[in-house]
Amino acid sequence: MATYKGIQGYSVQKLSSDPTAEDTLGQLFYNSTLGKFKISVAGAGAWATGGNMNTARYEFSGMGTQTAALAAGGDTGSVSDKAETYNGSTWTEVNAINTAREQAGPSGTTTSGLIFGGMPPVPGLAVTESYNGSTWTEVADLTTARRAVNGAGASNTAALAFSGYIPHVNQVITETWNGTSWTEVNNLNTGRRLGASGGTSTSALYAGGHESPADTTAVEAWNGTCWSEVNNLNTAGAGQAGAITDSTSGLVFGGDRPSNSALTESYNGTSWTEVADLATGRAYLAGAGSNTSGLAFGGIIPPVASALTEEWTDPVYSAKTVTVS
Amino acid sequence: MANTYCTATNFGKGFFTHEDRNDFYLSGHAGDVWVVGNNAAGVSWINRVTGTGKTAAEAQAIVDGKIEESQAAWDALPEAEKAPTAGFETQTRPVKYTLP
Repeated sequence: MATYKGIQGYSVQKLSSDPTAEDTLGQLFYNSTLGKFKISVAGAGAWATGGNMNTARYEFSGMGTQTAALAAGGDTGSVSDKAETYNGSTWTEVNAINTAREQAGPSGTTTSGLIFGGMPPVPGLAVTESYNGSTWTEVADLTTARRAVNGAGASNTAALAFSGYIPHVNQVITETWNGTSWTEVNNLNTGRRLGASGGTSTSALYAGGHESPADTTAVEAWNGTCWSEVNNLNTAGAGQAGAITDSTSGLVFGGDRPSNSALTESYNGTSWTEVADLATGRAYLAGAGSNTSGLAFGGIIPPVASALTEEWTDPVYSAKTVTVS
Repeated sequence: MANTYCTATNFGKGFFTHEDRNDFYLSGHAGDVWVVGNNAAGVSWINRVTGTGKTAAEAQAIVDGKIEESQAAWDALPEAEKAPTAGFETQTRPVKYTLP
């Protein structure tokens, strides 16, 4: 009879508690405390709850990573100037932005952030504010005032602002920020607003959005010089959020696809794959992180703003009990 | 029966985990209604979060009631804010749906 040692080359370890599954992937062990054989596995990506936000909000600016995220402004029932940061467990209110607004574009991190554009007034703002981890400072305006602006960028000195809405036209305008001023560069191919976006100022994605008169599945990738069409999302919508690293890797979730969608799609640089849903569908939320470690926060479940946070992890490592028949 | 129903307050971190999501179906709805996969892990989760069990009809009634509240709030908006060109993208009239 074959033995485990004969097959695997080592004996089954007897442990008093489960080891870190990620470090022992595929290994069988005996948990002596539970009296059970277990095996470390890598499961499919999934969302789990994070700490609830202090201020429920939607159409706000979100940036950062799963364990260091920033939320600023938005609609809380009225337009807000509140900002808060997330440390992987808890949201903490920080200094407010100078100009209360919603639908502003975001870029950067919790210690080096930027927001730009937005509303009110309804035609749109050009105001840009820079965050240094402590305070918000008004800096140079966008070249074109607008709302529903999308953003990408790694810091408050390198950002990309694109799309937007100036009643009643979806905008194709793209601008780059060098830490001092905005410069208009090559346009998007398709004017639309309120899609999901992210990445850096030289490698970004813009997915979905509202392309009058309907929502779109279109996705464009930015290479630092121009936008090009890449493969579409599986489901059209607007008001989604993204956890997007660059033009080759990202996660898009939630939105009006139709209303209060929980849909999540992952991008590998070539195609979009539908993965596990958010637990609570919502729209006009924000996202941070990547397609292996993402964050979804806030949003609206009409007519109420949401404070919910969900954390995406892919894969999910765990120790599963082995049942023997 | 594929799913079971409960109400429970999402208290944030730890309310449901990644493993929970891989072990049973879970979706949240208005009125703190949760649709939970009807297996041992799902039942265990309801107990862990001190959920209050509901029948499908009871859960649907809670969600419907919340959506009716949303519809009334939308109906009370000024006509200008309901217009498609107003740009208030979130102001679309909520519609009822059937829980899974």
